[in-house]
Amino acid sequence: MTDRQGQIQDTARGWLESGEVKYVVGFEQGRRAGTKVAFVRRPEDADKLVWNSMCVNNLTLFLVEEMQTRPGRGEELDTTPIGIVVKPCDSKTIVELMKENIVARERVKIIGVTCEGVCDTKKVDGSEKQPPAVTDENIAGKCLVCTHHNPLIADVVCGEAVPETITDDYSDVAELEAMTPQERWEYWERQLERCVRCYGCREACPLCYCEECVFDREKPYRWNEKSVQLPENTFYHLVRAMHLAGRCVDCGECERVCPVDIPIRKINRYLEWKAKERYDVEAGVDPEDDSMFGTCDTADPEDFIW
Amino acid sequence: MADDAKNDFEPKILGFLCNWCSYTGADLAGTSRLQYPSNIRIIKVMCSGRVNPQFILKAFQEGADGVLVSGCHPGDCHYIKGNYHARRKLTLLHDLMDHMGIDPGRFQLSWVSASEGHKFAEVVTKFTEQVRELGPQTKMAGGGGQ
Amino acid sequence: MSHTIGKDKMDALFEALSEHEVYGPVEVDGVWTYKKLDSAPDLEFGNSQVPPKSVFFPQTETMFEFKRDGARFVGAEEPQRASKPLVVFGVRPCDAKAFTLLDKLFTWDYIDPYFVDRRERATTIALTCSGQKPDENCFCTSIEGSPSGTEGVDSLWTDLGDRYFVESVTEKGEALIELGGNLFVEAVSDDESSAEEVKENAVKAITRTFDRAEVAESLRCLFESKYWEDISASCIGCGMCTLLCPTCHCFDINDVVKQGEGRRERTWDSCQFEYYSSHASGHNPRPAKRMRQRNRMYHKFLYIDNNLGVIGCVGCGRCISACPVNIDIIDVTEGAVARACMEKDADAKGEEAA
Repeated sequence: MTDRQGQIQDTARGWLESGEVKYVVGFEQGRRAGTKVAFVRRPEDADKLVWNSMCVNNLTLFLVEEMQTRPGRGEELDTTPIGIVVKPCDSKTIVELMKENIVARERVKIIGVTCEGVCDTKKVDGSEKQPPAVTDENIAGKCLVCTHHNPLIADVVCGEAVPETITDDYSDVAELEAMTPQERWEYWERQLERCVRCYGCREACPLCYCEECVFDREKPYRWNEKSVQLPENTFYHLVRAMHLAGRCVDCGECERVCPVDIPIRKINRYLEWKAKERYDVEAGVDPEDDSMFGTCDTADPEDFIW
Repeated sequence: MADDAKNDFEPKILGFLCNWCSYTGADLAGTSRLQYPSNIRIIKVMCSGRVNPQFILKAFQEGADGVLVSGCHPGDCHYIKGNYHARRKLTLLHDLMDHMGIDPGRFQLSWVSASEGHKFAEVVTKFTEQVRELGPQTKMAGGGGQ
Repeated sequence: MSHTIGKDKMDALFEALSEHEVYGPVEVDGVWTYKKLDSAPDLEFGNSQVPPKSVFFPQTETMFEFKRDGARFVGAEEPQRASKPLVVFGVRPCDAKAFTLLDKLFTWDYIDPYFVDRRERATTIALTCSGQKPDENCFCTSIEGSPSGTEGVDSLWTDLGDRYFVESVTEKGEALIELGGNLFVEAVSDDESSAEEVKENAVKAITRTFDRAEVAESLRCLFESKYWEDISASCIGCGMCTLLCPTCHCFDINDVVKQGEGRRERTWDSCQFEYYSSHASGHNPRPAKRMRQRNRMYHKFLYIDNNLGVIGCVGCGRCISACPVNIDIIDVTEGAVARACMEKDADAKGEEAA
């Protein structure tokens, strides 16, 4: 992993020295084992960039922020690209964002890092001093079903190519499908009941980029009451899932940030599965692909329609 | 639920009908004096493609027992492809409801043309019976306001 | 006088409290929150993810209900309040200390009947930290707290393995002992010394410290500093640090109106939400996240202190553990102190040069 770290630092330093990028978003060592988001603006600071099993965040969130920044009055938009460090799953987000015309390719320079999986920070003892090795016990759930260990889009790829050995059969979602509807509802009721509606899943999601979210809108109609109760929580999670259908690349940020451990990925993965099965849509693979709900096919399945 | 209670239960059903086919179809059912249950409350939309999954979930949250969306037959859409878009979105919503254990039988999509007054009456009758069988919708109900 | 109660007596104690509303920590799928209990409390936990402020200040609370009469709304009726006494089990001393801050706040310029009513009816049973607590992010000892602190506590319990060592702090605590009758037995001196040991170990387990002496002073001269831009750059604007904070108390009041009736309810709000400070005109005085981060720190370490004479942090460490981008309240305050010194020096040098 240190090898990758060196390559990341060298690339970032080079780009900053030549002025190709205005800053690089990457990871720096946090307190103890954790990492923090680093915004490196000077070549001499490139040394603080790290790469380890605790580099879990999807930093493309900050790319979206950059793309949505408006120049101040009388200022001109600075379109100098930014540099960004991405894991393969995060690179899928960039592909998806390009597809949706949120990210312009020329405004980002991508340091892609090949990846064998990262830790689930909730499974790592908080008092751990060093980033632990990724093991079967502490690996993040998304990595167990990851089919892209190499960046899909990058200007520089750091690290040796990782062979793809996993085929995702959605068996984790199918497990729920085996239950009766009533059991499924009881399962989800238990999960959604404890939602505190911090909207962390929305804020952490790079694809939740609407400048005004439907759940913040008050006029002309408030779609969801502020009450933190089951009907409102369910509405929030179902609507958010529908908004991400065919777009979610399973970067797992929603589930990672959830303070009350709601298995949000399960909902999104279910729709990902159905999107693939019904419409052969896979998000985040090719920026030239059509969006799932933006297109249609006369031959689409029609199994529940009267 | 006891059979008596089931028979007494009158489901509240919300219908989103497209302006060009299904709404006219409903009109035809009316002018042809066809009988169908009065449980349905109709909202006219310009196209079934206008129906956002959010509308349906909101209806459930506000206490609807069933939601019917109806549009032109595939190929007949006034806007060429609106109903194909509706089909994609709403099929996934139907799947998602099933996955969450929120009886997908409470949500129905149908194609009814302007000349199918009898089909409209049939669809509403069948759907009302289906929802009556499922009983009151309690999983998502009880929220909302305004 | 102190007592002990065997862990096997908890069911009997719960029975004895049948006339009470009993709250305590509840685990669902690994997540701890405080809820109304229907059986004896399980106190083998670290600390809850959602703080026990929710017992007295629920996340969503109906204030009153009303009905429509023609064009007007009439009959604003307060909901029926329960008159049963409350007992809250297993509150960590930091969270109990936070209750005293909320007490001050909710009786400050206006007496909030909802909160005060519940607080007055309640007996708070705190639990000395042991086992999984204190954890790596605890720092109560740096802000006049203690893992066995008694502020806001009626009865302090300390885990002695097979039994709890019970110290009554207030009359309500004494009343609990009386109510429990022979479930509580008088403590012997051995118990006292083992409890003392648990308490000392808890203090030793706290690894993080921070010096808040200069924090307020430093913040005062940093209002316009670029510092806030630096530290908030990675903030994603979720409200976790505030929603999960035992002392944060902002709420939003909304009318939920349905056809002929409605209710006014209040819900926790967070200053980290963009729409929190948005005016009806559409103007937002705190549009950038650096301002919202700054507000959180100023509120905790300056404004509450000015208004109520205490600082708005009890050192529970929840905001540190929950932050998705690892923003650390101690680092931010320490950074503020360092930055203030640096900027002062720079100013001084600038003046000299002039």
